Amino acid sequence: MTKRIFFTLSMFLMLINPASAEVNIVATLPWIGSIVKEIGVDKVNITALVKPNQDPHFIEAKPSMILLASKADILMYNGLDLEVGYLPLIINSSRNSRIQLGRKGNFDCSRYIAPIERHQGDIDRSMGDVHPFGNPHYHLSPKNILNVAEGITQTLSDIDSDNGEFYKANFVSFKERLMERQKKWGDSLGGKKFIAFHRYFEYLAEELGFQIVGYIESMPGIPPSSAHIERLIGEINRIKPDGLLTTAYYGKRETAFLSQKTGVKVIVVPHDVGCREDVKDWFTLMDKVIESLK
Amino acid sequence: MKLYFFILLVLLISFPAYGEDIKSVSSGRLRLIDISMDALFSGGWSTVNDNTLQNIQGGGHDPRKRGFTVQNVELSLTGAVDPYLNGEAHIVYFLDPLTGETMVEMEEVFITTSSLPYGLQLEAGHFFTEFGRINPRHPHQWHWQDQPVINTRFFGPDGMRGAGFRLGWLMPLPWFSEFHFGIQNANGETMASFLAGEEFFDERPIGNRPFLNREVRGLNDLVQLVRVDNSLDLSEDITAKIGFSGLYGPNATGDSGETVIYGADLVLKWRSAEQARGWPFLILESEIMKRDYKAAAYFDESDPENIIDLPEETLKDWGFYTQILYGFMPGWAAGLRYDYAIGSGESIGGRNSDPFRDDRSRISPLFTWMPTEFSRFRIQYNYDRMEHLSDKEAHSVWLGIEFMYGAHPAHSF
Repeated sequence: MTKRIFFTLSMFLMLINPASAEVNIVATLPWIGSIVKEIGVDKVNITALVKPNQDPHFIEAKPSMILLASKADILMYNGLDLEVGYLPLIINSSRNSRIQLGRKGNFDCSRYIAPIERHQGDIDRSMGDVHPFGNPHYHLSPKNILNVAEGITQTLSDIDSDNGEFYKANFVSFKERLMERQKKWGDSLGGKKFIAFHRYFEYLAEELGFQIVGYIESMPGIPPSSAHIERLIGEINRIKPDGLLTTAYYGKRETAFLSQKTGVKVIVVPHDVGCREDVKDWFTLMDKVIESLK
Repeated sequence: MKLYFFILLVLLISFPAYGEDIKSVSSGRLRLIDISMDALFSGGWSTVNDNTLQNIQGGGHDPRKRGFTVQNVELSLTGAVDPYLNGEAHIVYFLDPLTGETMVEMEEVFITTSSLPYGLQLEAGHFFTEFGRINPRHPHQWHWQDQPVINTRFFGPDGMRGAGFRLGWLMPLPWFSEFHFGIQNANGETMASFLAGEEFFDERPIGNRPFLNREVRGLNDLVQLVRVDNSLDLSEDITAKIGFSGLYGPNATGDSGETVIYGADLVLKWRSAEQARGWPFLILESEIMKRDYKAAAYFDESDPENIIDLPEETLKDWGFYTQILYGFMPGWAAGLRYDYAIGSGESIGGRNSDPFRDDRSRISPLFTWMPTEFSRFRIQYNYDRMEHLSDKEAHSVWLGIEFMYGAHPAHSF
């Protein structure tokens, strides 16, 4: 009798957890989903946890995110502590052995990049929300994204080996397109200088040859004080930057005020795939970012 | 034998071996333990004196002294135990507001599994009972500075917690739905409505009934919990969570004494899809709960001058709180909470003379400022109406400061 009950229960549980033909991928940020789509095309099913216009530093772990993570074959995330405020809870609550730390399905994109601004000396929270392992906003860096795409290809091929050649072919095509676009992006922004709200554009500046000469935040993640804003007005008038850079969710009030006081224009840079209707994938994101900075 | 074989098989399936490490460019770090400290202090004044405050601010971590209260200083230690288990410990320090004595509580120490199959998760150790929203959360997770009146009445000053286990099942449904079943010891000062303890009954006897020691003879002498938690995203910005909880266990009034507590809770959160630093937001939260406390008959003729003869009686209490918090600009929030509690079935000496069973309502406006996510300043006013007080009302104002440092685990929704 006991045996029969367990058998019936096991069969029931198997039936309500049907296997899917596609690789089920949960990405934290929309840009990760976009890169996975380039490689996986129709062999992957992708869901992004964070909405394009949400501040990715301050996300609350919603139960629906736990449900999505519980079914994921691979969880892909930005890393460098960007998701530290919510992702560990989602992973722990998911009961999904595939996505636990150290498993193949736990894919930290930052493991494939060369981080900048890694801190060498002592740091603590008196310095603001410093990311000790490097600046986490590397998704506007073609060089690093190429490496991330290669890592994604490798992991998809490992987990779904039947389609390994398909993923590899898509990566080759992705790489070719990226190389082609890079010629267009070139160093068209060389010589320009900007003041940014947050340390968001450093990788891009390094690759495209422009300069970030100051920050509106007084420290990383810390909103500016009125004294800092006053100092900035003097600095902006002296430096005469080509624009004040921000994103849809950052410092609208502060940048508008500084622009009014100094006459320097505010540039709301598209920051992630889907943040505007015309930003449909990572390539158009890069096109629009560069267009906005010109 | 076959049953053991099956359990072994399930455990083997659920504990797969490590995958190969992936080639990476950047280096990692060794994280053995995350340590954090969170401190809650308050200062304020009330129209009632400190002795009365011990009853009306009956939560062990409530502001409850004219002047200053060291409410809750929590040391949290968390980390991965091995590939299958995560460990968590929370040790709380506070000062007794009247004597100034340092108190230490082992608030929670438990493990949770990370990869059992079929959506199952086991929690074992000493932990808060998963009843409603306020009870399983630590004081620094609450939006207000004190716990709701009905929580103090049913779960005592420090919340209901105890040694035991809890199994959570993430049900295979299209929406988030989690079923919990748990068993915990019924005795001790943190099991107020159940077997409690003699010391607890000296301070807060339920219905003013005498305390009797009870042996554990079977499963019915432990506390059993069932809870169902459901959550739906109503839109990109609005998430709802609805839970139903039930508890059954023995109580301290005698062999036939038993307690049933059941309740429902709801939270609705709106957080703009274009939020900055998590603002703006609106959180509506409410819990309603009822307790049927079947007090056993009691007869004591040891003192012929004072024969005590109490009939069996079910003391029924219920209450709710409802609160709304609006984060109107980054760092700032304003809120309003309403508490209500009432009951039937007499306490010895009269229900309306019993500070933990009388008719009571409380209104608490709140204003919060969070310069960063690691510090918080709050000001709260409580307007209380209670039958057991001669004045029937009390006014209190509490200013609170909270600071947290270290690596603290993310909070649940």
